[in-house]
Amino acid sequence: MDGTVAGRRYDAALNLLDRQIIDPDGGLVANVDDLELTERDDGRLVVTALLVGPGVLGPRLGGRLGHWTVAVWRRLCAEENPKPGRIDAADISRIDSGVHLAARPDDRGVDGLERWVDEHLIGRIPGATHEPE
Amino acid sequence: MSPSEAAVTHRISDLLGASVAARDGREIGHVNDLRLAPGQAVRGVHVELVVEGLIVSDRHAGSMLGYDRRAEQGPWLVRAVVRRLHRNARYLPWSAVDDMAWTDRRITVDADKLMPL
Repeated sequence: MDGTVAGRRYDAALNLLDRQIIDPDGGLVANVDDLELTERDDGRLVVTALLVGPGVLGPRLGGRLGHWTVAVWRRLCAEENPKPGRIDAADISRIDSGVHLAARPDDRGVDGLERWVDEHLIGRIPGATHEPE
Repeated sequence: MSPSEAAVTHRISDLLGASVAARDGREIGHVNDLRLAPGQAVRGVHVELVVEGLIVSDRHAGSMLGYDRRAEQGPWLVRAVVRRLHRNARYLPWSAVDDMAWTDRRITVDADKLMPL
């Protein structure tokens, strides 16, 4: 007995990584940058969360670009030891071409790359918040 | 809810690209993907996803783009190229994994359990 049942199989990299995460209202939340796996008592690995943001995307990119991505993210985060955005697997309602959530995620932990760049880089440019003349 | 403090967690990216070796030390290849299957428990409104096995390829040739799933998936030229690149790819059930060295990203397996995709 391996603890699995009949049903659709997913290939993690093919069907989940880099897919769009969609909230119940159809809003685009972020992309799946990595998956958290938790070891069960029987040694099996279970998907327990979707991980998002530059803190987990950087290591996947690798090389200088990946290192730079993580370094800038750490530098600009307010916390001393920032943690990547995390969406509990219990919030997943459906998986098709995207990953659909049953509830809106906590914005504080789920800053997708675009939102992060907007807040931390673009938003800090002088004049970024001014109304057009 | 986060995993409890005692729970050991990893990331999919810790496994993707990890080297795979037989019990006798012979190099087999690298982890190309992880196959997830529905488990018996339900997390929220969706069944939990359990790692059922590994797709092991003898080269870093990128994704198989799903061409291992349907025999007639087109276009045929892309199908032919992807299958050529991954002609030695095999599926390994998780039960055949003997040891996971997470730090070294090296997996020791029972190579006799490798099977065609």
